[in-house]
Amino acid sequence: MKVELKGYFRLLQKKLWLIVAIALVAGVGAGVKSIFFTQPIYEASSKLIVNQTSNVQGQAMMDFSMIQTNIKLINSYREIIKSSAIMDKVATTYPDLGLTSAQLMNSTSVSTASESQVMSITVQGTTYEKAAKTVNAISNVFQSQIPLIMKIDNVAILSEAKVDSNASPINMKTTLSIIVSLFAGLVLAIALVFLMDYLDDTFKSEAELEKELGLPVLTVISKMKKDDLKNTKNYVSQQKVGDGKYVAANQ
Amino acid sequence: MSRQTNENNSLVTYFNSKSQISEGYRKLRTNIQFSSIDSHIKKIMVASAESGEGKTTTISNLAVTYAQEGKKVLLIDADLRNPSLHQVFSVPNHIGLSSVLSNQYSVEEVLRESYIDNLQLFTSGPIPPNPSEMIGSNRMKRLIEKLEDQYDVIMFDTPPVLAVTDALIVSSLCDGVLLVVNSGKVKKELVKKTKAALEHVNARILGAILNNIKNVAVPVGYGEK
Repeated sequence: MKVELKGYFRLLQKKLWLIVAIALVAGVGAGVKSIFFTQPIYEASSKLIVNQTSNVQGQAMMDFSMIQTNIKLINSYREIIKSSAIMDKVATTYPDLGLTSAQLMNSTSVSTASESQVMSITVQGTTYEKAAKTVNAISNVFQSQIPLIMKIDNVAILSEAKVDSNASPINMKTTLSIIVSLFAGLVLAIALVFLMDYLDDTFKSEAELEKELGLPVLTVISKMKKDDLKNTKNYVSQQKVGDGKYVAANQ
Repeated sequence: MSRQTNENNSLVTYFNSKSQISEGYRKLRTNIQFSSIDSHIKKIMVASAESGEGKTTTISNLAVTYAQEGKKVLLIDADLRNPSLHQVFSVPNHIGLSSVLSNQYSVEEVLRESYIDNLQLFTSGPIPPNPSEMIGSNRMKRLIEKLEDQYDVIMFDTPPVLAVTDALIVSSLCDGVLLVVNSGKVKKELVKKTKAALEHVNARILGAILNNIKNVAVPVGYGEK
């Protein structure tokens, strides 16, 4: 076990350059992608509250069942917001947004916290300003349309998106994506190295050769490098002329 | 696989006898000498599964280390199909083994001195149409018997075992076979096949040489400078 582990480490050490290269390429790739090739997407949201008081003998009252009804209503409202009844209206009322109702539907999401009468509409857009304008438009249209659709006026805007705030895009987590890619590249590279080693059907070590071939290994010759091939000896012709190397001391 | 064409450079034992690689070839020489206590190993050949594994380089450097030891060495290029010994030692190859075997020249006419003392060369000569028959001829056998008396060691460079039968024929003329294995390049299966082929013709495999190994931890030089 210990020997095997050592072998694995040796293998990784040998292919370290490959592992590092793959991880770096992955990291740099992710960085370049997110900086130069990703269009930033901004998100803006507004909050609506669904609330209706029942009028009992001219006095506004709120009871538990009313609240429950409102909460249940929210589920319907979520669908209504994303329906063409609302979105078509938004598209026609606010032509300066330049969005079709289908685009509006795609970029809009509605969420509620459970057991609460508050729902929030979130819109994604290429600039924050546009997203905020869009989300406000949707909330306004929704608020004005709901009495016509539901015959009940129980939606109020709790908070609008601020058009002039300085929001950062939601999909530009450059550092995070680089780190994730680096890590993924590292894992992938290590897997690749092991796979390559597994598929490599050649003799690479003295022990392997001896064990699998059953022959004694008489010598191991390393790959010749430039350094090994350097002439430490002069060529034959020159050698005979002057004894070169060794005469310096007595001249 | 390209052959070592940059002539002189592969003779590391001659040009850079202090390098680790030269030490590796000297270790090979010593191991061959010690592997045979009773029978003297006089005729040695190199074999390998495929071309380009380093047969010529190995046998040339081994021949040089033997010559440096003071032995009288003859190096024969028995690769009549793709000879390269003459390139390693920068000698002409218009006549050689094939010329002698085809009765055109006498041995004395084609033997060449190398620039290394004690080392003589027998190049392949022109490429014949029937290399296997030439190598396997009785004339070849007699030629080797005759040369045997004049040298301490005779070494053969051969074609790859799995490609042609020549190497197996040469092995029957030799006392010992060195199996060169190109590390990280040649498939285990092929090396095993080569070994089996040599054993089939009763060749005496002295051992293997792991060639071109990469990233070896080089021990600190001892006795250098």
